[in-house]
Amino acid sequence: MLRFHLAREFNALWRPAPRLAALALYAALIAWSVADGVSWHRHAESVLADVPADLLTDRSEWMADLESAEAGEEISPYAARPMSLTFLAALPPGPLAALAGRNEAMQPHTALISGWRSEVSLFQRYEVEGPVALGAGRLDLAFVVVAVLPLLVLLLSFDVLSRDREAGRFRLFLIQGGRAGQTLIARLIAVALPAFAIPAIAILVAALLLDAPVAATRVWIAGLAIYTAFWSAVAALVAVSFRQVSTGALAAVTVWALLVVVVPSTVRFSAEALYPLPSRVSYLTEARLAEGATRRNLAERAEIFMAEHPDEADAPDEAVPGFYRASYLANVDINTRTRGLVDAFEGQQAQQRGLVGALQFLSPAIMLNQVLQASAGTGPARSADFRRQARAHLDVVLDAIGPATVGRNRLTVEEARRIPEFAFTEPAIPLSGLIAMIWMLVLAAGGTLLALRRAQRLN
Amino acid sequence: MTGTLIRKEFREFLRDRRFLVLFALMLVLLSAASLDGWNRARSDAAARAHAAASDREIWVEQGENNPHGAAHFARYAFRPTPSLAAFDPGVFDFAGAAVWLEAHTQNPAALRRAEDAAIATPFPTLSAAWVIQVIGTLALTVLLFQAVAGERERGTLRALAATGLSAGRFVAGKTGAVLLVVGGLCILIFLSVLLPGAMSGDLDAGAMRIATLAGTYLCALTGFALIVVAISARSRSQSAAFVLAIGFWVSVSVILPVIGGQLAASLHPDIDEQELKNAIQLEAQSPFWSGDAREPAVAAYEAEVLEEFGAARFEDLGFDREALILQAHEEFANEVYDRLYGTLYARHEAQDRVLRYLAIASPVLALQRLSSGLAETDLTAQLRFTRQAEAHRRRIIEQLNRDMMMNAGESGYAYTADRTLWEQIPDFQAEPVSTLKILERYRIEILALLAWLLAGFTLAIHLSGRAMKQERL
Repeated sequence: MLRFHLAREFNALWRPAPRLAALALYAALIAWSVADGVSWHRHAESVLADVPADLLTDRSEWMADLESAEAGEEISPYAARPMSLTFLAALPPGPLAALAGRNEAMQPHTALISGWRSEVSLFQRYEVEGPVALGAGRLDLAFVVVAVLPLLVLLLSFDVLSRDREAGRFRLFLIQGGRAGQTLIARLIAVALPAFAIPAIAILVAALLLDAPVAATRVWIAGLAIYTAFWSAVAALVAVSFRQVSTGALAAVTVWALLVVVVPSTVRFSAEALYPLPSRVSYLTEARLAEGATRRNLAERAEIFMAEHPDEADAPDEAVPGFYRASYLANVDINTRTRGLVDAFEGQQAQQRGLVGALQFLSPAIMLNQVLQASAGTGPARSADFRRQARAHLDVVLDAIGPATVGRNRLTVEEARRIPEFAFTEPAIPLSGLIAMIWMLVLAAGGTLLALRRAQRLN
Repeated sequence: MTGTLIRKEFREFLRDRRFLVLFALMLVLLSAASLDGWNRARSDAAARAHAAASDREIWVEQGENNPHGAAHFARYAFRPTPSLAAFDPGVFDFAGAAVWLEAHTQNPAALRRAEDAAIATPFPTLSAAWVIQVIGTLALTVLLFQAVAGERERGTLRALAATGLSAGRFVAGKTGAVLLVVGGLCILIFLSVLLPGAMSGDLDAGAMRIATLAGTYLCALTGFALIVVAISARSRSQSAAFVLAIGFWVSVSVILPVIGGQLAASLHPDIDEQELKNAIQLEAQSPFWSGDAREPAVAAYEAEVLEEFGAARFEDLGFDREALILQAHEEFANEVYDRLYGTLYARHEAQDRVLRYLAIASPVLALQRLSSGLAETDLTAQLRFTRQAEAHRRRIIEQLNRDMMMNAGESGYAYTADRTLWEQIPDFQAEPVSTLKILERYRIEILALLAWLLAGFTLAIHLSGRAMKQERL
């Protein structure tokens, strides 16, 4: 019986031109967003693969020079200096970043780590991307799914019962043995199925093109299915609760506006207002003050540093330019002076994320957005992890090269070998995402059951 | 009669619980966004003012230094926070706050606040302007979609037509009520902009600018409201009116701005940061320092100096040749930067142009653009700042190089200057722009808004008149 209803509803529902046009527009948006996302992903990979060679130190060449110097051979006074060791910290695009990279252009994906860098200059990015396009953000699949899918589901199904009730056809339908519940389910499936299937196919195509892990793809498909089910449940509740089409429509749009637009924006706004971040401009000012102080008192500062590292105090190489030492010490002092600001910044960011994590259960749009970003390997949390790991690596490098740089010496081969390369460790997907999905599933199931019970009363 | 109709319509709004709920929601969102905007703008302005003062102090207190060494340590130009950023942040958070004015290199602006975002949501965080542009237009849609269709469905339109009421008066009554609602919204805009400004001397927006802003919103929201009334008059039923009106709102407020950004980036892709750095190295640095561009550039600048000082040979002046070479590089590189950054900024402006022409199709997008333009949080204001900063960089680097050239003598890089020179280096001062200049730049958006307003009036009157005529038959 349900199959009969379903077949009939499919034919009836998708025959009107405006509905087909809406579906075509939805499909076009998805196709465009995925095509653009895949192209962006490939570009990001190529940028990482093509980091100009002159920016990085050829480690093997550098080590060979160092071994020659240690063996007593004559080499250039600039060769194998600790300050010329440069490491690349790279954040590779996440497995499905193509589908959720709306704001990725703002985040740093590389950093060059060396003694020439302080934490301030490590991630200093310039305004090369156009602010207008950046402000609008990329149209990614996550946005289409989170914002447009519910609107499509609601607009196409808010009146699945009320249009017949208002036209007086519903009574006739019941007299002929029709059941409100079955019609409701059939009509909702007729809307939800294409609304789910089109992005699901797009996800699978993108996953194949990008060779994404099965686990991430599964999370996306599961999240999409649960989200579609949730909004279908909302549509079902609207359909059975309002006799008049106009009231139902109003309720549907109000629910969408609240859950997709107002609540997420208000939650973000609240988090940002309650936990304001220290200004970047203040960060720069502190760094400049530290740099100025170090440069003014360089000799004294170097003396203190060498007193803390007495092993390196002998036999300085006068051929080493003085600005090596000056830059190194300035960077160390900048890091020390700004550490409090950086800690406050990270602390406030963590608080903001914590608040959003706690309030996400108020809006399925926030829940899904968080899950999709975490599994796609995008979003501010992953970027913050990258910055933290790169900063930690900078500390390791600065600690390792400090005594030799200020002492105007080279590292020993053994010391140099102990400095590791940077490797990004992916953060674990938070458990709250799973809880959010279960919560959304419960809401969807509860809403559907409630709607079916009310539909029974209509019989 | 018209006054009675307006009063009746407005009383209906006030009786409608949806109106009160929406009004309360708008008021809460607007107050919160306005206060937060003001707080953010004020702390941002204070941080930038402090940074500019510290920059001067660091610069002046640097001690004895070679002028070229000082030019490498350099100074920063900080973009002042526009007072209306509290109301409409526009693209302000996506634009750099400071430009490093170092020797040899033109740098793009840096320190974008959007880089600090710890949370990603589908829509941006609340601002007073966004609340009015997006939530305000949604509220108008919800309130007005049944303006004519509801009368028709309830049968009251026929009764009204039977009284002999002319279509013009009917529309005037409906429009008058709409204008009262929009006027209420505009008073909220005034309050949300004026109150924080009145509470803080740091963020003083000119009265002319605020009046223009409020007029813009009045025009845009009235046009939008009239379009919804026209949709209502065109629709046979309330539900059809609702679907059409919501479709219109979603298209012009949600979809088009996002698609516009995407389209702009697709048609005019951003230049890669590394690509720009490589180009600077390959075209502005290497040809001069290790290529064959140095000789002609130095000769050209030397000729300029000789002409200026009326000497036949550089050696006769007793000036430092290293400093001459440094300034010759600046002159050489400046031309390259004009070209490279010209291309970069042309790309940004091309992206902006895509949205400008799309704004013709969306009164909300036109409003968003004009609003951020008047708030000086748009791309134009940012480009004005970066151009002024670059002009300042060229001025102060030349001043430092010329000091070294004229005073270093035989000492070369060992020559040092002191506080006297550092104090002569001027601070960066952003030049203000007039409201008229801004309006001139946004004439397409203004025309678009006026066209939407005119179309709204015409369609609302025509379609309502037709609806009444149909009811009389």
